[in-house]
Amino acid sequence: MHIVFFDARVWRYVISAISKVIEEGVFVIDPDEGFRFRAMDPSHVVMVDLRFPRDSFEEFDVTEKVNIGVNLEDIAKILRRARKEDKLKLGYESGKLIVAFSGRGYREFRLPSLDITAEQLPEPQLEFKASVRVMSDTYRDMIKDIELIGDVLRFKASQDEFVVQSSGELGEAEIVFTRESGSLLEVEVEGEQTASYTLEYFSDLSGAARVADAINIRFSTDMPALIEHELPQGAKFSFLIAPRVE
Amino acid sequence: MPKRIPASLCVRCKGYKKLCGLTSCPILDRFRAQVSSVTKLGPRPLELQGSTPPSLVVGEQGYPKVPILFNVPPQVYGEDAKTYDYPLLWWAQRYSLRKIIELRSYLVSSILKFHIKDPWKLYEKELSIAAISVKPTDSEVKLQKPPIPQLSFDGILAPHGPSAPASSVRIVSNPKPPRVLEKLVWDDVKASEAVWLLYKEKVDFYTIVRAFSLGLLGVKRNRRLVPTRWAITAVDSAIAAKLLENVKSEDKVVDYIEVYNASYLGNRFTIILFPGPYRLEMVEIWHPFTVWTQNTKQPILHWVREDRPNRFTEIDGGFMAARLSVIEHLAKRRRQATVLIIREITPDYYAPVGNWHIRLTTAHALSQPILKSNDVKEVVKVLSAKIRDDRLLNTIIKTSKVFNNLYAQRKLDHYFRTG
Repeated sequence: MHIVFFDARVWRYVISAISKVIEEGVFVIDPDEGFRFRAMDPSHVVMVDLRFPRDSFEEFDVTEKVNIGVNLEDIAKILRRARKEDKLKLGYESGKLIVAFSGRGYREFRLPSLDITAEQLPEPQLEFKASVRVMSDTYRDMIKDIELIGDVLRFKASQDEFVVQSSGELGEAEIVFTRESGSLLEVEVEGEQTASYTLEYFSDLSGAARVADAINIRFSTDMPALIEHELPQGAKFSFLIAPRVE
Repeated sequence: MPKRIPASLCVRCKGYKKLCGLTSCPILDRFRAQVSSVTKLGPRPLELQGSTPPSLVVGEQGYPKVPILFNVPPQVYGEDAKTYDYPLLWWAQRYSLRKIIELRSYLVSSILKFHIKDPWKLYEKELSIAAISVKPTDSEVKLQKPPIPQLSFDGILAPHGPSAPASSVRIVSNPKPPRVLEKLVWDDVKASEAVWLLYKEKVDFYTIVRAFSLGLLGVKRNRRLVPTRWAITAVDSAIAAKLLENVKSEDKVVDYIEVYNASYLGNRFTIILFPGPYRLEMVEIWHPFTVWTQNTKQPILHWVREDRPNRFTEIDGGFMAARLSVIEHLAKRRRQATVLIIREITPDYYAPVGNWHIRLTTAHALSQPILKSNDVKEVVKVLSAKIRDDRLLNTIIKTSKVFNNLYAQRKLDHYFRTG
């Protein structure tokens, strides 16, 4: 079996980001669903979900469902070798995961699949009272800004603006997204919603935003937040993060 | 120009980072003058004989041309010499600070100078082989001038006795290095791999350190002498890095909050393991009237954090020593934990004698928990009994990121159940 994605860099940045939070997991490749990777971090604060639907691949030659146990850091190391205009091929052959780049030449890596079983993770059923859509580069800048100040970020959404705040020993920071400035693409909120989260996870996963078009942030007061990255070809990377309640 | 050096700086520096900008630590200098050596050199003070326990230290002054201190207790031979450089025994017998200082002050350091790129020259003189021997090796030393009867102290190395430049050092009996180590000297194995192999073969920590610092490990053309202070921390972190790989690949975390405690040499360690991913935070509480806090009325706190595995807010020799014991403990149990170490330094620790006791006391503390509980209040109660100062404990709990997360950070499971 093998699958081919048109831009290896998308995988490079997303997997590299995930590897900072998750050590190991299972790549699931399904003939109908496409590619999926879900995992929860050891502290049970973050759950990541990466999906590449069947149609997002240029080639999709899968006849039966395969589970491939992987060490994310090892895969990330290989994916960091992806160059501009490289396509990514993933395959599975006699217990080995094949990661190959084709662009200028063809480079193939084979890694033994790890013996781990897919964790049964719940499909969370959460209602979000605030839903905000921002550009991915402004989202990344926001995280970099907050990193200067504190360890915790606080989301605040109201009818016409979305504010991210933090405070620390150095002082305070406030980043304001508005429709007028163009930084806020969409906002839909019931009343006003505020919630705090540990910044570290956002920092670790922010690399994935480099290859996303837009980011959807969904949350409710003192409830988990769902951060969805819209990737090329209808692929999606999202993470659900538990709040901090002081 | 006299200026006041804040104790918080001294607590971070511990006399060797030279953070105050002076060329030598005024506190240690003052201290060293007060403690004189007990060594009796006899009628011919320029010639001395005895067995090295072994005890060899690579200094860092004048890097890359560094001093090699070859330490010998005069007129002490064979197994009797071992005690003079034997942290494991000192700890096992719970030697007092006074006894350790006395032992160390009896060692005479003869100083030779070598360029760090010349480890083989030392090897040819058999000094390196003597350094990694499992039993003391007889030697004859000729000094250039009589040693000054003084001691020097340090937060990482054990104290040093009188020293003088040597005109010659001769090894006169056969050193016995461990076989694995002897083989590695001739192998092209990366130093970090070599350290791991030796650790797995249960070679004594300080023998590994001496091999590392004398340039006996690593890819042959890259070998060099490494100042012992750096080598200790390098070996601590090389072993910890390997063990941590195993710990991290385990998704299991400890089931309860566990509290551990042990004291030695006026140092009280309280270690708290929380269920969670591997993180480590250590706070040193230097109570008033310790070496670094002679003039303070309040305890001085010094925090070091490993917010992510292998990423530190600063490199601190004491932290790295305690960390190795913690990671060894977790690796043995195949569990992750988020860890807070509280190290209290009381005035009873009147002289710094190296970081060996930190490694050993924390390891000992971790052998038996004093509390296992899921109730944070109960944990705080036990801490309050150990720290004996509620205001201080409050400050620690407020500043600690580990505690902070524990109180504020929710887990996703919470929402799956109700959602």
